[in-house]
Amino acid sequence: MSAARTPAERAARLLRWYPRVWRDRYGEEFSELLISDIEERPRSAGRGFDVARGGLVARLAAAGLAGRPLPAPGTGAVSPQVRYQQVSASLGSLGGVLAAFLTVAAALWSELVIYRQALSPPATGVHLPAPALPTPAATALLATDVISVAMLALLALAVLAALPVLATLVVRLRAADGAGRMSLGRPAAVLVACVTFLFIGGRHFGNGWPGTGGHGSFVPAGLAAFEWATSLSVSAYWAHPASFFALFPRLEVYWMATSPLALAASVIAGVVLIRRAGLSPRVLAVEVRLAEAACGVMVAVLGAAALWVATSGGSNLASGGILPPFHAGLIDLACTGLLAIALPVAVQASRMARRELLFARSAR
Amino acid sequence: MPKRRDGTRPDHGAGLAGFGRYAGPATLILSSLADGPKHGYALTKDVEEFAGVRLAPGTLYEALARLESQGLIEALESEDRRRPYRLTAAGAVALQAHLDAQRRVTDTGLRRLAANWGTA
Repeated sequence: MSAARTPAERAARLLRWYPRVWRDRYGEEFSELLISDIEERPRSAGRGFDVARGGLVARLAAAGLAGRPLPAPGTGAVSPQVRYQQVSASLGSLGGVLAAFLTVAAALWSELVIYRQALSPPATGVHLPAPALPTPAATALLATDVISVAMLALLALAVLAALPVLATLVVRLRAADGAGRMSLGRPAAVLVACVTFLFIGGRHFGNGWPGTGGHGSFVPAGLAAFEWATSLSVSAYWAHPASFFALFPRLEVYWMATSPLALAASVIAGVVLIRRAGLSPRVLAVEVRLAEAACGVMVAVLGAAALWVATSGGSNLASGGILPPFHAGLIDLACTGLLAIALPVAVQASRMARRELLFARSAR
Repeated sequence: MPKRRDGTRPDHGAGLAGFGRYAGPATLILSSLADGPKHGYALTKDVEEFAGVRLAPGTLYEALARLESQGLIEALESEDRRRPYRLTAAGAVALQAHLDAQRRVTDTGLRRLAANWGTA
């Protein structure tokens, strides 16, 4: 019961709202203030809310998404080194958001390409049932093309961004001592394991791709199948467990359940590596430019997805109970909403990275 | 405050202009520290006494961190777990500029009230 806790225990509990880096700097003095405040006003609903809000702001700052880097104790100054670390934190957050964005966008894009495949005349020997569907909306076809190009651009940017990070990691791992090697080696091992799992699973389940790959689009077939397979977990079937388990083979269900976990673990490991790699100012400058370019491409993806969802005719059924082509359901609306949430976070991370990079350069 | 060509605002010498919703707490903290160094709880009590406002702990430390990162206050060596802060020269200049601007607003408002409403 909270009433039995001492002020020190309550203060320690409140302090958990803040990230470790903040607690290292302000933890002791802030605890003392909290203890005094609790002793003076044992019951205060506003205090808990205020501390929670402050803690969340501090966590956003630690993630490079808000505020400023913390000043060094004693000097009060923010060194260029700390500012570069903040740039890495912003880029790490952007990388995480971009991975989530890519997964959701891949799910939407796969659906659009499958629709397109179903409407196209069979040219490769694959005959899908072609019911008498109304003419697909030109906007949906446009959205398919825009997202196809954008997905390729995002993947290219991700590869370009990853190369200098990987090179830096290799150099750091070679030069590191035992503790340093562990600090980089552990997340690197997690990342390699998760990416390997996703690669093998994506290749295996990509064989079930219902289209001929990127038929009618600009994306190579193998890549299209892989993107589809790795985003299978983004599915409306989760809301219908009975049909979910009846329709899909057990192995595919396991894949749909574990692939997002592997993706999340690889993203977390990647973010940790970016923050610990100690990227040089020159690499950081390149990464910031790539991040800004990625944000521009994300705008195009979101715009195209929103255009499709807005013009698809919603959940209206065509005559005969057949869904119109390029029909967007609730899952597509939810996915577009997720993209709309991810985009401003990515833009904010990119903005913060640019700002701290400029301050770090001007302070040198 | 004018933006740089890259769209950002300068970080140094910004006074309280870039504090946004923390400008209020920052003014109260700087005004309190103008009287001498204080730790968190002493700051809270002093502000409550002269302004009638109780700064909540989270808000106080958000403002303290911002003021410290801009060099307007500095942390002193702590004798115990409570670390005192003091106003820096840059902080005194920023506070003076901010209070001068506030006084101009106050004077104008009072003068117009007296002229048109017969109050003040």
